[in-house]
Amino acid sequence: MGSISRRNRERIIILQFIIPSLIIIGIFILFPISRAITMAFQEWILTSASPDHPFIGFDNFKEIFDLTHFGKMMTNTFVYTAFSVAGKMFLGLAVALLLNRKFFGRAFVRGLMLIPWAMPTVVVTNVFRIALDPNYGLFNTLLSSLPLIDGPIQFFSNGSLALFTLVCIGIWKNFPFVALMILAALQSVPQDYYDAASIDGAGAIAQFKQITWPLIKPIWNTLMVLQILWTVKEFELIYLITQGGPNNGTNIIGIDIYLNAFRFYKVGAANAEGVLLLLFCLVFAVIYFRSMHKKGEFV
Amino acid sequence: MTLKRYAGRTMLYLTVLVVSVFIAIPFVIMLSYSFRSSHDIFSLKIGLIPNSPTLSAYRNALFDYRFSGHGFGRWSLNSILTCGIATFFSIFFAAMSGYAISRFKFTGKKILWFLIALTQTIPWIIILIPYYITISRMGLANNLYILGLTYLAVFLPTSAWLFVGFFNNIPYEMEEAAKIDGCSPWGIFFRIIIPLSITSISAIALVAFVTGWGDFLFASVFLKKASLWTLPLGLTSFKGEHLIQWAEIMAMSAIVTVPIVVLFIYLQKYLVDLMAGGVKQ
Repeated sequence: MGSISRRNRERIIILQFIIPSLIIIGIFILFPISRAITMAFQEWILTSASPDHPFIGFDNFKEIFDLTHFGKMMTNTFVYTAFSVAGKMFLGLAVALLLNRKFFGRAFVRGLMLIPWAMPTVVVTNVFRIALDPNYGLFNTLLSSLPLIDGPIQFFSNGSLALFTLVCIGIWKNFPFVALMILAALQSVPQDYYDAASIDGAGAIAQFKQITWPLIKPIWNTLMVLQILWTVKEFELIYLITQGGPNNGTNIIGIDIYLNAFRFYKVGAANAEGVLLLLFCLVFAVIYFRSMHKKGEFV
Repeated sequence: MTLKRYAGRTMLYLTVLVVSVFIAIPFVIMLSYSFRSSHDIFSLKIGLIPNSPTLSAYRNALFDYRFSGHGFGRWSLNSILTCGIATFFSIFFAAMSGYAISRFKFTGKKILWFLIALTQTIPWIIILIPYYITISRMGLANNLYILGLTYLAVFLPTSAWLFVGFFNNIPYEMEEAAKIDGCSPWGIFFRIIIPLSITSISAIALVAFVTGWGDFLFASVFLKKASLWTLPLGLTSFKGEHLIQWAEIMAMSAIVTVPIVVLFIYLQKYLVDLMAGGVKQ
């Protein structure tokens, strides 16, 4: 008897520890997700006064597939995510390897790395909007002093160039996080390994291939999956500079969902796009969780 | 040999210089623009160093700029209170559930952990639509308490995720000793765990706070009245008919950014360790 009540008491204590989180996750995350999925199959027009929302099957999905800019939007999403993630990962790795070497002022540069991470996106977008301004921006003043360019560059008025510029800004904002995470992994590699390899006559490239890469590969893979998940849903960075324009040139799925829902009030279509995005994210989430399982560090 | 070494060092420092400039330049541009007058920014030949540095943009941004009658004072108060209170509660709840996941055995633990990790992967925009419709039907849009409650929910999973990684890395012995001395789990949590990990807790709190501090997505959907705006909305409100007040925007941006950058640099070791712990799981 005594042991049963003790077990129950233990259970009650554990429940006390987790109950606030359970309630909050349930109300604010699980419930809205289930609603979003059902809403994708309902008729939702916020401007109409009708209170009921009949189920209409896949009509919302048909509506978004029929949008003239749907193909462009999906291509943009893919291009933005692919280039952005590749840039963040490789620049992150390169800078992490650089910062893993000993040089004067290393701590200072590592401190600098926190600036892009700490700067709010609203601030970043404002800075780049004025710095890249064709008439008054510093970049164009600087570039026009070079002999290579005639006339200022209109960074945001041509779709492809605007998308490329946004990719670069996104890389700038996020590569320090990747670099610092890889650096943390690099610093746990014992120096003895490299010393032994040098004695054996292994060069820098061989050392990287044989020692560094195998040891940082797990963290690299996890970071890449996380970056894909965090980049594909990009919203603020793009919305605050181009709002998806010009002519949908920088319209990616996160932007389109926001515009459909909160500007055009096409809630059903927005949720249908949301479900597509959700499916994509779940695929990568599964990859992410499997990598956690494999390492056996899963709680 | 020494010559080769010397060349190598030079290359290294050149690379470091290029990387440093690349990282810092937008921040430097922000500061550079903030010490000018807007009139100066619209001169055609602009350099990195202001010709006649002035604090007038800071004065304007802090005291004179108004949108529908409200300005920096109101918005910063809204931001600090909303994000501050939400951070406090989310950190508290996240530490509790993170501790439970790290230390206790219970049924459903895997599911809870899975839910927390899953929210790292789900775009908030998907949750925002049904959530906003429900809130506005209840007449609760345009309400800072609701925004605060939303931030609490937004901060919680990430914080709990970081806490699990953190608690997994601290040894169990001290708690074991306290347990033998008859200390209850709550006693251990409040008297041993929290005091011991206060710096890491502040780093997790900083991450949470900054998420709300820079949030535009939720705030832009929820807050339509300028009296309720948070700083990110204020920062996007500068829209001149002919001339955008860039100096004032940059001054306000600097005020919003510099304290965060200082805190990040101050807590950098803890931040990086926590994040690395989170990612590694």
